[in-house]
Amino acid sequence: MSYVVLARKLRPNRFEDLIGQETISRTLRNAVTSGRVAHAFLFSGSRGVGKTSAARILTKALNCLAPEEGNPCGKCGNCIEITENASPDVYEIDAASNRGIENIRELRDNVQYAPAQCRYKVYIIDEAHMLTLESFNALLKTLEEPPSHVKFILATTDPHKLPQTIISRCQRYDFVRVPLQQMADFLEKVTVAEQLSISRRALEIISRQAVGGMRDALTMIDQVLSFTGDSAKDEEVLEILGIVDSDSRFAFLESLIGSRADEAMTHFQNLQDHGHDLHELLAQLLKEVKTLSLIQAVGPESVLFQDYTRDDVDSYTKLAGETTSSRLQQIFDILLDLEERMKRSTHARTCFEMALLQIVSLQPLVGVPELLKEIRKLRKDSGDSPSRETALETNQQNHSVPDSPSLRDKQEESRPELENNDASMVAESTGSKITSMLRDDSPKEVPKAVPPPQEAVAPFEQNPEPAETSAFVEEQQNFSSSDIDKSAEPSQGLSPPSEWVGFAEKIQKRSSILGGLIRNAVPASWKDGVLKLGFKSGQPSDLVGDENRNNLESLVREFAGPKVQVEWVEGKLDSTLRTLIEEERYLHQQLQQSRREEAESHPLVQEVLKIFTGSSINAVHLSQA
Amino acid sequence: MSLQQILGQEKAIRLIRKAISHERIPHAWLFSGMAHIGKYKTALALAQTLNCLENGDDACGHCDFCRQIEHEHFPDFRVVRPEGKNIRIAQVRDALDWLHLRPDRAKYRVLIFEDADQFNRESANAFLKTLEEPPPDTLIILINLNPQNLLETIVSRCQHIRFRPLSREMVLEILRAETELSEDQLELLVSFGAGGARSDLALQVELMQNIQDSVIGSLTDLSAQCMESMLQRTNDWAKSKNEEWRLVLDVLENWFRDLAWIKHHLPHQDLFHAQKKQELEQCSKRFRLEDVYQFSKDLAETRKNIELNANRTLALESLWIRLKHYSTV
Repeated sequence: MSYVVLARKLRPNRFEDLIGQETISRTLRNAVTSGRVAHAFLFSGSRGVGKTSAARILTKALNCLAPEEGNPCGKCGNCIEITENASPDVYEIDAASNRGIENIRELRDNVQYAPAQCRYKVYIIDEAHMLTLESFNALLKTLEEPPSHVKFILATTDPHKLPQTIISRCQRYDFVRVPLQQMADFLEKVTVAEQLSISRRALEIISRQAVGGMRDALTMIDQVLSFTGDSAKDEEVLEILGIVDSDSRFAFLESLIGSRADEAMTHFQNLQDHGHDLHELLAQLLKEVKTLSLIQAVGPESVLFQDYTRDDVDSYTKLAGETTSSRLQQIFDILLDLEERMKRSTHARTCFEMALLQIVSLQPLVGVPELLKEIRKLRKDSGDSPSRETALETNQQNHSVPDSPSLRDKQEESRPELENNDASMVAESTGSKITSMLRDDSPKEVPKAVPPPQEAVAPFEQNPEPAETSAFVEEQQNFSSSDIDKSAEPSQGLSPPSEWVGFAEKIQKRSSILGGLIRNAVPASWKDGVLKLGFKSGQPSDLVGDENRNNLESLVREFAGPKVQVEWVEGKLDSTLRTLIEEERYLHQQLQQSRREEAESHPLVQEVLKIFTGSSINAVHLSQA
Repeated sequence: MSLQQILGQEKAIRLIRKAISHERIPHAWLFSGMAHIGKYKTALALAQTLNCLENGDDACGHCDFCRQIEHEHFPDFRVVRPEGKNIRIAQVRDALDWLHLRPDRAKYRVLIFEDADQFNRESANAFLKTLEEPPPDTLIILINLNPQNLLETIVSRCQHIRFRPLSREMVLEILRAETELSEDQLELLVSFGAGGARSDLALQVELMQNIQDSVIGSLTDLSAQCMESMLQRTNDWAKSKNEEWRLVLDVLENWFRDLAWIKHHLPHQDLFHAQKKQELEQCSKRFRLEDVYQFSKDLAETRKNIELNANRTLALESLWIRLKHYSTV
């Protein structure tokens, strides 16, 4: 007879032997003693917690010839046959390999026959989650109302893969993971019974490693004993199971958190040399980083850490104090990324090393609040208008706080009326003002509309060549002196050439056809009541046509007196005056220019330039006003 | 091959031999560890040892049974390998039916699942029950790269033996014994294997040499001319049937690991390309540390994309362009 592993040898035979499932075992036993046993059970829970064992115990208890308070005796014929899996009335079905509908049909056909020797026919359907949907559905009717001599027990690790209709027909028992201390206690009993010597500490390590699965724990003990015989030292246990001892684990973690590359790589190398698996190492690191974050979040006293040894918690607490949560988060991200990468690369180790190096070269993350604080501090240190800081913070209310003097002067000079506006709004409001002024009827306001004060004057004065300017001044004088009898028009002082743009605009408003002409035209002269107009581009004047000319004349007369005549000059007209189009373009450019300057000289922008030394403004994008 | 002859896995071998000598052989063993470090050989030697006619504590290697097992002709020895991408449920059922027969002449029936990472959901679940309680005198060995690829319920039913990556010297020794290559080529294979003895690559070694030289050559000289010839070669690599792109990515991966290594001033004897120190130094000045990390991330990304059927040429080319982009000189 070949060797039988502990996990099989020590399968529980009584309800009490199910470790960590007290509630379930008591309920089942009471059900058996009181004779109120359901016809279908569903046992669910993670691996190695006793689902299959419970199913077998229940089967035996139901069929035992001499039950002891609900527990099977284990000695009668039925018990022995069931234990040996030889009973004709107990079907233990591996649903994972017999998952098809034909298997279930067969089962259904057999259900109706009475048991051969036992009290009940019991169907144990193990790994029930692997049945196909058709199989489940084929089972539904039988599962709901089986013959009285039939019991079903379904066991699975994935109850969520079962249809609701199956679950609702079963009495459901959720098996919990075996608690650590209870598992260690049981392992201790096992080692005594099997005459093995393993220390309690090693047993606890094994229990922790098993994560609630009793079979895992027993498999590990088996493995240790197959190596060492009848006794095992703690170090041997660690070595055989590939568990990293806590000292080197913490040393490794510490070097990573402390950003010591050479140390970290040496530790890594050592762990590798001891045969620790990369994937397990990674899983462990992830878990440790998580624990550190957890300690930072909830403190070391939390019940979450009750399964940890005191020493471990202390070490974790110490390490957690040496780092920040954002850094832990960064490390965690890198490790998670690594997991993905290791799956694909042929060089898992290279990837691991890269990730470790990346972790040790992590720059501490700085959050936005800290950055702001830093900026404020810098600003204070540079001694530049300390009040700015408050201005920044309270820039809505605190308008009177002086900005840098030159800037303020400029602002005041250019548009005192805007002084009280929030800086960022200045550009915008100026813009809208200018456009509204552009549309203003009153030509007198046109000069005002031109934004920056230094050049903001009527188009005439802006002319660079003084000679010509004087010529126009003269012209103006000519005009006013040769003022023909102007009736008491409201447009008394209106002089088409000097206020040409405003005038043209008015015309445009009155007639869009004429406006199209007048937009491109400039006055050539204004003498003796004759207004000569021409195109700068030199379009032939017959484009205008007599009708249009007459219409225009009558319009002009409305503004400039009844006797004014309008004539068109042939050919290209050289004029320093601007046409309406040009004027609009010019104003637009001016506006853009001023807004750009405005933006560049904005205190916040200046501040940015100052703080990020060496930076420059490459482009300014303005929103359309 | 006997258990004793397996190099570099002393610990695993010790565990196995002790289990044999203590007569505590479990019904299921899980051998895990990276590829090409001797897991299959160990399983084979174990099967031979258990059935050897000489009855020694190790396989003799020349008795009938040992030789039959080695060539997989032995009636009580079976290896299941993925058919196509996965190990299918039909294969598992077939193997389990076989397992339930009494041993023909052997003392132990041995069933090996090679590439046990490739079970699908159905096939993995299908042998859970058998794995837990197989018939007497049978041994199931699962060979697997990463236990996390297996169901928890499978792992918990097996005794787990971890195989570790081999040391440089060990790989050299193994390769020297198994292949007929020059020392230079051996070195190359060693650095490619990163802990595994890739004797399967022996036939490709010249190609690898070639690729490594041109990749590293252009890494040290990122001139326009060089890039151009690189882009041309990329096309060949991408289209080759031998999956040369993998080699290219491997070379880059190792090279950038070395760059990071140098930038952290770590000991030089652990470099993969220790003999190319000068080029490494030169190259390390070209890239900032962040970019080294970023590029190795890009490498992983590219590998993933190509596996997901991205256009190989484009993927590799974009890698070169990014490389150029990262370089500061």
